[in-house]
Amino acid sequence: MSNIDAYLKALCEDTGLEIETDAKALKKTIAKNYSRSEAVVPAAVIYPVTVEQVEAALKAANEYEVPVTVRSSAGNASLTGTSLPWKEGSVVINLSKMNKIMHIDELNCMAIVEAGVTFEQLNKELKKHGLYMEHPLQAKAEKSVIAALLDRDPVLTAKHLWDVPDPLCAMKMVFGNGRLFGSGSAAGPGTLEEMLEAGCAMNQSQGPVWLDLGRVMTGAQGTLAICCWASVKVKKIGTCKKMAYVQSDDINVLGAYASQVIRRRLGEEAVLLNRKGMSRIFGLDEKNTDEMPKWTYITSVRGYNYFPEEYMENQYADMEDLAAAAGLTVSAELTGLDNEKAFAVLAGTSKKNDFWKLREGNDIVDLFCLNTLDVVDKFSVLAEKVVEKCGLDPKELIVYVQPSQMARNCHIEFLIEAGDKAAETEKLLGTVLLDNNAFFSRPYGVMEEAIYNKYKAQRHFMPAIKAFFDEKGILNPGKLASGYAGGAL
Amino acid sequence: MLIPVEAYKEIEKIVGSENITADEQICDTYSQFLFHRPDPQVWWQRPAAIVMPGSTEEVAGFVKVCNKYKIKYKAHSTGYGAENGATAPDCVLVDLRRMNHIVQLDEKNMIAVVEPYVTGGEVEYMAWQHGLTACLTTAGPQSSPLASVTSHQGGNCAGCSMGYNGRNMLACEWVSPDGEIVKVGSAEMDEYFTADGPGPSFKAMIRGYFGFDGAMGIFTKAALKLYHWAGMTDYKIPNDGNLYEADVEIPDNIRFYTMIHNEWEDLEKAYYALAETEVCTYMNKFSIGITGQAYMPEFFEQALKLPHLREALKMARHKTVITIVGNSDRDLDYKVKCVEQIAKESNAILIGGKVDNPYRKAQVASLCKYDGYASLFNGPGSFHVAMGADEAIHVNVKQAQEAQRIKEGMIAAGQCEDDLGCGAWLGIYEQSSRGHNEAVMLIDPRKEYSLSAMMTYSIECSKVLATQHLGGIGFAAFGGRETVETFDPITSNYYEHTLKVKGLLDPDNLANMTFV
Amino acid sequence: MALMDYKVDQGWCNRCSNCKFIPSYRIKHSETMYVCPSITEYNFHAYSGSGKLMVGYSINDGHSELSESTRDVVYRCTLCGACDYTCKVFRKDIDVAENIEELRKECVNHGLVYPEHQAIIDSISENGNQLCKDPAAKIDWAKGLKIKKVADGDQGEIYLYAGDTNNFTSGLAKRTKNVASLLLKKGIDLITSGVEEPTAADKAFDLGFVEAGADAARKLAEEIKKSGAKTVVTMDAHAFTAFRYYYPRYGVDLGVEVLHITQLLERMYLDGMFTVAAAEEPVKVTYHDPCNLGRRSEPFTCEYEGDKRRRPMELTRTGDLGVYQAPRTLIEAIGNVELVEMDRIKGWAWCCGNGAGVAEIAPKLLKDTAANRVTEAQLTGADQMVTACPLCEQALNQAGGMKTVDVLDLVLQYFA
Repeated sequence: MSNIDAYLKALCEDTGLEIETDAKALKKTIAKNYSRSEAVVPAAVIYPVTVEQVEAALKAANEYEVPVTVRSSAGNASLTGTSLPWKEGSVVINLSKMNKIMHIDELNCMAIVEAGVTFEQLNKELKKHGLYMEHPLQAKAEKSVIAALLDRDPVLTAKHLWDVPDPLCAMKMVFGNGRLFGSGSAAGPGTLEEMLEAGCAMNQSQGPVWLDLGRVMTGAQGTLAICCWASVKVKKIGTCKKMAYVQSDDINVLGAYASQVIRRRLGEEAVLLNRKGMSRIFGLDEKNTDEMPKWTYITSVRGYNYFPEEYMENQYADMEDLAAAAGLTVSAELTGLDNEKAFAVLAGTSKKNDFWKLREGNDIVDLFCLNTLDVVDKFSVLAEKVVEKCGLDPKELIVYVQPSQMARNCHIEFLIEAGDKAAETEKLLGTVLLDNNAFFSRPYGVMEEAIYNKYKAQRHFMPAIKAFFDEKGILNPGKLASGYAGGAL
Repeated sequence: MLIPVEAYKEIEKIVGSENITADEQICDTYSQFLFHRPDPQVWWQRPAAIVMPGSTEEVAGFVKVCNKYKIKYKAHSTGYGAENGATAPDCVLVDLRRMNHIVQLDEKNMIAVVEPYVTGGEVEYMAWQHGLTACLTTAGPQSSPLASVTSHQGGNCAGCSMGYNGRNMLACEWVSPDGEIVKVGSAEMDEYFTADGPGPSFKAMIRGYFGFDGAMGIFTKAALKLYHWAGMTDYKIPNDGNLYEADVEIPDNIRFYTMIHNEWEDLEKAYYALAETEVCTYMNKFSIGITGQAYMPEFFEQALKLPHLREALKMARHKTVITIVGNSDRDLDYKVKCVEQIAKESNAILIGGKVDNPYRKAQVASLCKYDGYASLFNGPGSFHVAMGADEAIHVNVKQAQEAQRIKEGMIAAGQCEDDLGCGAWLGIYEQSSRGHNEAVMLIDPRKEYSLSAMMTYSIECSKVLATQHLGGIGFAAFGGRETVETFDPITSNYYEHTLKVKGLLDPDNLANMTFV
Repeated sequence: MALMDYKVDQGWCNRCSNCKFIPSYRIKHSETMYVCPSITEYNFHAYSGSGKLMVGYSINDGHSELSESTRDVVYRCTLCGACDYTCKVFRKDIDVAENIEELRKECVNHGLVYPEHQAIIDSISENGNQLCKDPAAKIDWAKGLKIKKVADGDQGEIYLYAGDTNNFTSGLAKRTKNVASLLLKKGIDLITSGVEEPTAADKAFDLGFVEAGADAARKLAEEIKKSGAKTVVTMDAHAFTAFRYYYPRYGVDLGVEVLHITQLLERMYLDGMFTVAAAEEPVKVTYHDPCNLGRRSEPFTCEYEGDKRRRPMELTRTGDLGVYQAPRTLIEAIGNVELVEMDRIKGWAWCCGNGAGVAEIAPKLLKDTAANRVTEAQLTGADQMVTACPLCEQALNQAGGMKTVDVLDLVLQYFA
């Protein structure tokens, strides 16, 4: 009996887990690989529904030395390839059936969700409580909330993103070695039920004591542990709302303005987009975007329980004053864009099968990095030159800038439909950005090796991190391999 | 000498003979810590030597020598508190005093990069010049913000607007336990805007939540988050006296309030509203019994003897101080309105507003940089923190109520100093429903019963946390072996995992942890 | 008082490090935030005010013994009192400087004395001065002045005390003479001892030889008594501290009002006794507060033996009652002279380095400390530095980089 057979047998006997082994079905699981990395058909997909089942699956995987890839979202699309197996004989642990919204706490503005809960599902439920979840820009409706946040996908409200891993808080996880662990409030003492009974909001992300392992496993692409459930911060919808748009051809001026606005905690969701970005994400006609300045800062303002209208108008007026000082103008409307629609885009998820990054049949280049708002100009110019050099039209380049951590840094994303030039463009653009100090917090695909070659210190310690969680290396083998291949401690 | 002579000579060669000593008496000045520890001992372990590197390279060279000879070491910055004391007789203590530069102050991106011996007062002054402020620790402006953000757990009155100290670090430079110079996060390219990645967060591994207090490598540079500041750029003090006497000019866009609640439920309601409205720049509940004893011992000792006066004082036990800073006139008006409304809704007595009298001036000035907190750690009238775990505001309130119940019992039994029972140092964090509570007890180290009360109180409070599931371990982690044994099995085996982290990064355990 | 009497002060130090820095609300530059010359030079905690409290505690608790190491630590300190001042910004229950004095006394009692310091004490008893100078080298600055002399059996209102440094340095003796002349011209009833002037022996106290100091002090007290003066005016800031603090503390009662020369001149100026000329060209000056005219000179009140947390403020020597304004009044009186302040002034001033036996055993500490002050003075953009103590003047001029004069030089130049 092969390892995998013995493994599956043991699991079936011990846990009663749902296991998919049908060849046709298995083949389908890697059918929508949009990354440029080769996935392999898994030997089985298992669908745990309890923490104990995940624990058992990983314990057995350690015992039988079976490689495991974890996937949280339903469906089979993968933009980066991290949720697809790369090693023959892998088992996929699919968490999409762990999809209970376990708790919603209106007082403390918290929700506790299982790993398979999607943005669409959560927001629908939250709405009944007057709450909503701040999420990445037009997050995929069917994307797992926990998977997105664990991947440090930035949410849209820089003022609420105090530190990594906000808005993710406490996590119940199973290490690669099969040990169960609670990070932050999830550590206990006591079970989740006991703690909720005592009134806990499970809103502490760090701890217990000297540990901050939930944060360690962010950006790890499923190579360290499996998060079974987590608490996330949610926000009140508010009683009134308003949109604000500020535009400029000079991203340096607009970026500095955004920083001044955000540091004063003015506005809620806020993004910076170039013309193509406005057209793609907000659905503006090209004729509208052609006529408008190159860059747009879009933000929403809300009012809550205390003097809502006054609060909202004050925020707007303060933004106007800052804009005037910077030679800019704040507008409450944008030609060609309905405010309700704009608000829905900022506060909502994408429609099913209409994710802004992914259009069927197109090969895209999607590169994102971190740096500060004052280098966006330089990076954008470089990116335009690169795409032009690769024979693409720079006007087609989407530049999305997401201020983060109160605008101390920002996520800068470049996306272009590149057809057969995608691989070449991605490599060249990635190299140019890396050479110019772009920080790739989440290295994927062709750039991974170059990134880890640059970040030698991180690479030096990654084996120790891996050894802590997953000494046998069963979780997501092949992922972040260049990192883990660095010297051993 | 307790370390090999050859090792001493090698270290001497790295740092210079004037920067190392094994003199017993000089070493003794690094081993007296009566404060911040539950066991009533003055003497901590005397270090075998003190070494003072002047650069990251010297730190790395020193750590390599320690590895070569298997010498234990521990580092501190400004050196406030026993957390960073030596833990073994052959332990070399690293005093980072010579590394004292503000490396960078990036106004545009609100980041300051500092070395270990840069003080909070210095950073704050420089930040103010740029319309920014830093999240300092209540240890005071003479202590190191690098130590605070890299290596220790602590709350502060600015937590509402600036968060926990440990969440205020971006990238950093660190000398690993094997003596390598490590640039964490974006520091690899000499930029300090982010700490995590590429890939997993190594920063979270070496910083953790509470911090390792000098027992996990040596941090040599850290990027501090700075925040918007619409207050003064400097103190204008027309007279020469100290801060309490100084006629500090506080701008009109700063307001200071004292909000007094009689009932815990009302206080809780107010805190949730303050969090929602995001109006506070500084806020915290203080114990009137403890601050009163520290600042006015003569009055308090007499007052507590008179039952009716004692009851009257108890009515003001739940005292919250609030400082608001208006970023514009309309912002100020809104915040004032909110504070007044919240006070009304929560049945509070609200005193204050414009900072136009000596009491409010001194309070605001003191809060800005935590000047004056040193006065609270002053021997008789000092205090001990027994428990408190950061969770939802109403869980923190429950913790505080339980701690108060326990202490009131101890006071009635004559087992501890009378501080009116409530010692909660309570605040909201990150303009959210997350709270921070410290169950504080007044101590008088001259009295045997008061000293032993510290440990009793710690243990009794931690039992409540453990059995009532009130949000985690928190400060109970410093209650010694007994609390480790109580909590480890019921709290995800945190202690075992911590030792594993230590074992992977510092296999010879050269940098000893202090409280375990 | 003995070292053991400070065990509570020592034990309650919580190592907050306020003794190392100026109060945070006075910080203006990174370079000028430090306040203690000793730890700035030597860096180990033992050299700070807190460190010396801990050294004291260690000895008192039997954890270590008094040794040459103790001596090295406690004498490599200018005893400038900055640590005491900055501690008392927040605390009133620790007398940091008194602890250093007690450690020095303890060293003396155990024979842990530097030969250079012993020579000073020997010189006090043998030569009647603390500069180890032949008495014959004393300059008779009073010669040629119509000034009353104690030796002549005269009686006067104000006893003018010149001090050893002024008596043995030609330029300073001349200045003393000119000041005396100015005062006499204004009708001040001065009396002096001239070359017979007993030493104030301030160094003996600073160095921990309090008995030798008290013996000398009694001689001076006797001399002043003979003079019939109601006020003693000292030209020497170190003597000023001795008269106001050490003498009463060690049981020597001068029985007269004590003034520094700048205080007398300030009074006369405010009473309209001077016409003050203006400088020909605009000039910027900065003022260096001598520790012994400033915080160290705050008068002694009593030995407080109760719980110091309950000590009334009026019995707590904070340093705020030093003399800070008088020299500034004199400088500001001169037209075309602009006083620009340094970051570290008054109670939180940086020391010049020339105090308490440092010059004799740690010349580098003196040199670096003075240089640090000159650098700070240069930051102000001043043309010259003014001070009011001959030892500060010497140290700062030796550091170079900026000319330092005594406020008396300005008075003699512009006041008539």
